[in-house]
Amino acid sequence: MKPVNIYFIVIVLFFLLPVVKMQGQPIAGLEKKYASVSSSLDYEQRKLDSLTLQLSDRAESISREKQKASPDREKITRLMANSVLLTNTINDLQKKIISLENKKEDLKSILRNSYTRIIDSLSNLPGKTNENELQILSFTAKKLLVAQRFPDLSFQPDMIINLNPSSVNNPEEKRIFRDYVNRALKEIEEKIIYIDKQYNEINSILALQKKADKFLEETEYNDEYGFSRNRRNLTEAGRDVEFNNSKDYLSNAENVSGMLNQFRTIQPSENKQRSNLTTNVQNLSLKDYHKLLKELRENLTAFKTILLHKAKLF
Amino acid sequence: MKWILCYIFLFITASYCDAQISWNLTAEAGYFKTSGEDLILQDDILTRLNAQVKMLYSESSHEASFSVNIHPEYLGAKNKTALLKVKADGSYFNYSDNLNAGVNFSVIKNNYFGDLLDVKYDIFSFQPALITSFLGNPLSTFFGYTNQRVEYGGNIIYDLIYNETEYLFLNDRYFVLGAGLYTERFVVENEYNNYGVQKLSNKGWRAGPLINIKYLRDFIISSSYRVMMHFSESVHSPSYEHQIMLLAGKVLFEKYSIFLLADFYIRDFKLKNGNSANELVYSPVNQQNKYFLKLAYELTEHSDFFLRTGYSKENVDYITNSIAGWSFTAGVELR
Repeated sequence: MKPVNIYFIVIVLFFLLPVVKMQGQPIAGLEKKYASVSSSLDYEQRKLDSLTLQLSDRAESISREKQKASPDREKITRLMANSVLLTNTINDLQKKIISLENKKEDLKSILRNSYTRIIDSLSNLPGKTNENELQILSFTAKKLLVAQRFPDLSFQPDMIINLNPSSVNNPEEKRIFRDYVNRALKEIEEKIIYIDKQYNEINSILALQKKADKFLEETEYNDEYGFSRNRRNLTEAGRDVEFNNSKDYLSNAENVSGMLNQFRTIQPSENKQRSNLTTNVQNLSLKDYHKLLKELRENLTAFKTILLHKAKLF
Repeated sequence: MKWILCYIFLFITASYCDAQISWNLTAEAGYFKTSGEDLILQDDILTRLNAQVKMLYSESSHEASFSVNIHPEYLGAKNKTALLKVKADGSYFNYSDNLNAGVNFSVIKNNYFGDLLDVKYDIFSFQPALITSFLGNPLSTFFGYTNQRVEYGGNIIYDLIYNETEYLFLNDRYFVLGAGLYTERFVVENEYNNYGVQKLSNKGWRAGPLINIKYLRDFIISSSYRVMMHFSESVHSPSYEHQIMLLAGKVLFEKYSIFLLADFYIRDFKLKNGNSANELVYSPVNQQNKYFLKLAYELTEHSDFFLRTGYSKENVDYITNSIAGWSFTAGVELR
């Protein structure tokens, strides 16, 4: 029996690989690109809504015509032919929207990483000035606006982020905003305590799993032949899939992550392709759940910093 | 050619600017008490080193990894036996709503040196995998091809094609129960390069059910059992093989951890040509029993001190050569 053709494998793998990353571009360029993609997505979404409405009207017209005592067959045929064209246009538009949503999510991810790098480098500056602190806050706020996940909150996070205390002169209005910010702060602190508890438990489970895997590697080093007796040949994804669908685990994941859409963007994404770590907890592995909790924690802590700053200014 | 695959996976993972790189270095030394069999006839000092570098890139929709591991081992001045194991492996996984698909591969080169010993064996393994959901629970299937080549004066070549399909039943948050089926087609050929034309071979099938149980929360218990019916030219069919694994472990007092592994292989072969020691039946790799106990203490976030003891038997080549005995070692891990 001959070994498998390695060249064939290499060629197939090469075409299965994901696309080139856009890392390394200046932040202003990325923000501009993100704004442009968001705007295009808005536009295409509105077009889709309008066409869907048209299709719905057309379907009603066809239905009404069919129900007449003597329906006009030619009219029905004409309407149906137009509906087919409209359906094809809608399908093409939906594919375009999915592609734009994927692009938007990629850009959000790159922006988040870029903002994190800037925030970290500003935070590590020796002798930070007031201006540096304000820059850190500004980039933290921008990062939160492109955050992938955020808990379900009783207030509007983007509204608070965009609040400008210097534009509020009326004392009564100032008092109202201050109360709003303080209530939001209290809620955030409670969420942080809850998520911390979940996060610490998952942390210790993952640490135990990692130590067990290391032990198995040390003692079963030679066993790379056929099946693995300890299923070590499973990838991380394969092993972690064991933790999906456990009923207690799912309901808890839903509580934490059903906490999902509020901070994502000003217009929540309908992108089903991206649902692994967002709306679809069925695919949420223990590692993904851990990542989700970590990101939620980071976002909540960052948001708490913003709230404390806003509260001082009101 | 196998190394081309390594270079490709290395390139893929490294091309992602934010791939995480991790490393791990373990050094241990201790005492080896031989079972008195075959190659190692005297108790001796044992020293081991293990160095690993791993690159991992992970995103919500895909994940790629590549790692290289080097493992030299020296069985002291009396036996003058050394082992060098080099391994490279990689994986790529793509996630979508209803299907996770990926591929694993590994390339291993094992060299055994000594006064009584000069054996090389290479293992190449390639394994596509699919994981989906069936009736709300995970269903995974792994296809694989493995090629092993042993050089010890002669050459033995093993080729396997196999499939393992497993369905996971989940009882609650921390408990996993799975059952599945394993099927394998194997071909073994023995080439006498230096000693004439005689060529032995064996072809056959192995298949059977498997069951896995795992509990993981504040401690871990994992157990698996598989039984395989063995059909081949060299044995009366069916013959049976049983494999049982038990792993238990716990973190104690935050910084201490203890782990136990017991791994048994029981074979019930009825050879067609009697009990000839030279009868070529199957690969000696992955056929040995082992028991290990490890106690570790976390010195810092990046280092551990550990004590390990256990019994293992490592079949070096086909013709009854093995290294078997108890080891008692102490070591340090840096990461």
